[in-house]
Amino acid sequence: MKFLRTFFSPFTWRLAYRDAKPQWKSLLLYTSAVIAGVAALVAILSFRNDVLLTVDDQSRELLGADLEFQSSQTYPDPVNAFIDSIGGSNASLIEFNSMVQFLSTGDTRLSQIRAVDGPFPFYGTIETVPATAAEEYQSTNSVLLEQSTMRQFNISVGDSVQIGQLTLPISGELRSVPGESAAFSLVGPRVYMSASLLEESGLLQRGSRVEYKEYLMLDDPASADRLADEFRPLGREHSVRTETVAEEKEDYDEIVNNLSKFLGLIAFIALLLGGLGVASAVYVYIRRKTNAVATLRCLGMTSKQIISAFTLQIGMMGLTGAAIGTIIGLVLQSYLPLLFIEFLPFDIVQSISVPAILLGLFLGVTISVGFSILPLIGISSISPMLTLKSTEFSPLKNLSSLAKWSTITIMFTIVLILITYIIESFLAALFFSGGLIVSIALLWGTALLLMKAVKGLRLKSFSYVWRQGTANLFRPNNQTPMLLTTLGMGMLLIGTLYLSQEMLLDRISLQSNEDLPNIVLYDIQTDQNSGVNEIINQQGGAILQNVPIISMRLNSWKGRSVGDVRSDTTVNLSGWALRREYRVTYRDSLVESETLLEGEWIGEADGINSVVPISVAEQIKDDLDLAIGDSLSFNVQGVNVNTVIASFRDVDFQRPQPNFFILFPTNVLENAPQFFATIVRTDTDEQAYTIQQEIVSDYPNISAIDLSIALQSVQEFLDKISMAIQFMALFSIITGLIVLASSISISRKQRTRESVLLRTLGAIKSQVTRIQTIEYVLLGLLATLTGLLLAFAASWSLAYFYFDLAFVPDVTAMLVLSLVIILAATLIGWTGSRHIFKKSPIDVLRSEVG
Amino acid sequence: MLQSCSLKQIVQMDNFILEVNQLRKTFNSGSKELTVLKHISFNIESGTSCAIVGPSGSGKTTLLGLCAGLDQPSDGSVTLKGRNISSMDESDLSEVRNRQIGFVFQSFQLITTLTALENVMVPIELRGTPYREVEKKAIKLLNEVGLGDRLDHYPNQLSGGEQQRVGIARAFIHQPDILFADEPTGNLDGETGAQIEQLLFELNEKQGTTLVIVTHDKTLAEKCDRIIELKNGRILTDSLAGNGIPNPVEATVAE
Repeated sequence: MKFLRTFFSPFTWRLAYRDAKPQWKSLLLYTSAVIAGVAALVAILSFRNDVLLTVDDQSRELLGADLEFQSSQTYPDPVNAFIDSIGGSNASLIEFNSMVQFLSTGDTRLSQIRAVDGPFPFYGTIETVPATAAEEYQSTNSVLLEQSTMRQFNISVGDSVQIGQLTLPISGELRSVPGESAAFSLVGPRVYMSASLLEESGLLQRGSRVEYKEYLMLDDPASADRLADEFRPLGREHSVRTETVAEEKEDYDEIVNNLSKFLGLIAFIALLLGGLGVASAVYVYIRRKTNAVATLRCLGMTSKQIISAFTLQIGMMGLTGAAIGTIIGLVLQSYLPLLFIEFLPFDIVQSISVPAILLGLFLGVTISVGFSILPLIGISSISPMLTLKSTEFSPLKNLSSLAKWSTITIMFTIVLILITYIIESFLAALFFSGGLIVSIALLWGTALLLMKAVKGLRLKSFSYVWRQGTANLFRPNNQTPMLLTTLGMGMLLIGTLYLSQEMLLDRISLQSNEDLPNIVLYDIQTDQNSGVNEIINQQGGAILQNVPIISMRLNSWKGRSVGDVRSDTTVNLSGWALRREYRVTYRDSLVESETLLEGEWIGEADGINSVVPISVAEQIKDDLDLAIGDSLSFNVQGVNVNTVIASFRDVDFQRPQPNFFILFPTNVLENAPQFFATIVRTDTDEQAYTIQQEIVSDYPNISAIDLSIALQSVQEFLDKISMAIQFMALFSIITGLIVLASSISISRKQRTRESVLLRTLGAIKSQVTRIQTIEYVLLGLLATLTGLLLAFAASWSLAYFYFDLAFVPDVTAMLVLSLVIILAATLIGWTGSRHIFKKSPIDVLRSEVG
Repeated sequence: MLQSCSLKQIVQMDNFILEVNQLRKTFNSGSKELTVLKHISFNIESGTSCAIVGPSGSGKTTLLGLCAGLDQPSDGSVTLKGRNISSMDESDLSEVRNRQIGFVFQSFQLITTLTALENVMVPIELRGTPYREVEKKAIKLLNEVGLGDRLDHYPNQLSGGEQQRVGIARAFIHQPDILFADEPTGNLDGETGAQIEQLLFELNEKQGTTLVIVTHDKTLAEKCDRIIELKNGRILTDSLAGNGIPNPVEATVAE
């Protein structure tokens, strides 16, 4: 209470104002370290607000209807009856992947085929060029093709495509579909056609993965949730799912919230580093004020009054810095959608978010003041005796350990509370804060080690300018460790992100590995198999695997019917694992991607009527709560097959080949209806291209995945995602540069004095400039090294422990980034020091005397 | 100006503003203990001026700090106007410094970010006195010290002598009972120093403040009613200015 009274006393405010008035620019610079972090946070939170508002506003367009039904098989009669009973308008859509050949160029692409019957979408429009194509394609038996694909292959409206047995004209370029972002096309170009053409196309064969969707526009849209609830039991029974506008909106909200929390955390790192920068600057500031504080104590001011006055100054400047950051954040808000444009299925409607602004201001002030607590309470250790005896006094050193640790605990608690608020989870906040502290501690330790190494270098053989430039890093009151930590953190974040992304791509890259395939063909019917193999052999391709695939569903689990199990609330099994259509194969041996973990692999059974010993992938063992000896029965195209779990395997699903949850032995399924998947290795891209072209020509229903193209798509996708993350991480680097500018300002007098003394002793201007340049270049170099060393360590750990790869860092990219940071540091240093030649030596020396 | 009287007579008077009794101060210097002041005792009468002299390292500044309540003794006591300030808490000490004590420093110790006027106003603004009243007083005092036209100047815009004038104005504005001056002319040239000295004594006489000056300057010391000479942490002589009579009390105190 007493402190509050002191804090709000008029004299405290007057003194704070008077003292700040002549040096407000310096004070603002000290607290400007929070600007970048606040800007990033306000931008992200405002963007989040915009997206949520837009989702709210356009939620019906996201679904395109009031209610959606979805299943991987055709709807049984009870379901159709239910849908028919609802009334309103409906449209159906059949979705699957298939090869499409562009006849004008001969190229083929695995595409997402959408066969539509009815006026879908009911809300929003499919945007096409020309605009009328979206209305006409069904009636004119033409297709809409992805605009980006048409541009890529130089295809025009009017050209034709081969889809299955059909040759169809393209009536429009597909620009956007309600509820789908442009990133969808990375999976494969979207093709819209009339559902009436499907049968003729011959595309829907055994093994095709198809989604059947039914869209309804209700007479009373508000009844959608009620209808979905009513349908649920029937849906569960027949594996038909529903989606309402509210559920769609909820899904989007969750995605947006999670994304903004993640990006918000990265932005918060910048803010935290800013706090460290402020703390460091305030420490030097208080130290400089030792004399003034001691004098004020002599005049009768209490420590509390002095602390209050300085706290007020820091708070006000923090507020100003936060306000500047908020304004920048609001400007950034309008550009952020560009980062996510590929992933957003709508145009963002932007608005000012008052909560985001208030939070930005609050965070800026809290971080500024919170991180200044330790140097501020150091004021209480400044004795009035220092007016009579001037000694080298460090306010912090004279604080008790209890005071120091209590303050640090309070600071940590403040950070924890703020992070909890941002990500809405205390536990996650605790882990994140802990990780952050560990990272900062590691960075600080690395910085100190590097400084020690530099200090220990015997530079006697170097010229004076080099020795002086290096020594400047260690001048009294230097903030070198702080600078290396803040700049290093930005380098660590961006470096680790970039190196991890490269590793992820390497992990799935096949180009360098001779043994891995580059084409996967599937949906090959039994009577097509030999023909396909012949084409491959003729073109010089090597067939690595030719795998039969049979579709089946679970009939019973441990003697109980699946329906019974699903309705039993005491049995906690994964609904997905119970409901799904299993694609299994049969062989007499395990392959390279499989490792036996438990039980015995039996390669041959006693026929389909026996109890077949099967092997189950470890990955679904818990989903179905299975153990060796448990029984499962499968419906194989109408035939019941009883099985027993004979073994569990570990399957490397990351390998680009058919991998299976369930593996049958031979002598069971040979006569069952099946299709084939073939994985092929070619020596050249031309071979791969030719093989795909010939196969699709002869067998249009067969799908081919060109793994090099798939890799390219993944790369593109990762690039887009990582750009957003790297953009946020950039704010850490910006914070580091601001802290550098602040540090240069703090040591301005010192630098001027040094320069003047050198000039008095006979140094010429260019020598003084070179000394400073060496100092700043070294600073930037050490900072990048600090972050890079840890980025390499983190990436190596990922490579070794997780990706199981040899770590080969992209040195060129890291060098370029390092050079940018060194250059930026040098430029800022020069800019901040340009004044030192303006002062004449006599002015400086005279001002020393007082 | 100054009436000489016997030390015995002074000692016998009971109008003492400052009473120092068996004062001792030790510091830790590495692993050793350094005793800077050894059993110092003296009293100062209200309204008089007293110079504390001695070579460097004799303990003058330490003694000044203890008498002014800027530091705590290791042993002994300091009583200011009947209150034992050596055992006061910081809060009470602040009040004493604000209301009863004034300071003039060798290096002026002006707040560099406040103007001359603002520097002078600080002591009574701290008391919550209305701004206008404080400002009026401060302007008057700055006029008295000859800086009426430099009110809005910052310390770095003033010469050494001018800064010390501001320091003196600040020391007197709240009409302290006792004023401590630590080498007030130490950083000034002869002529300026003389002007400052004159100013100091004029204001002191005008306000009737007790003046305690630490100084190397013999001339300045001789202007005071009393000179206490320290050596090696002890009182060597305690005499009236100009007489140099050793304090008979010291003979029994000295070891």
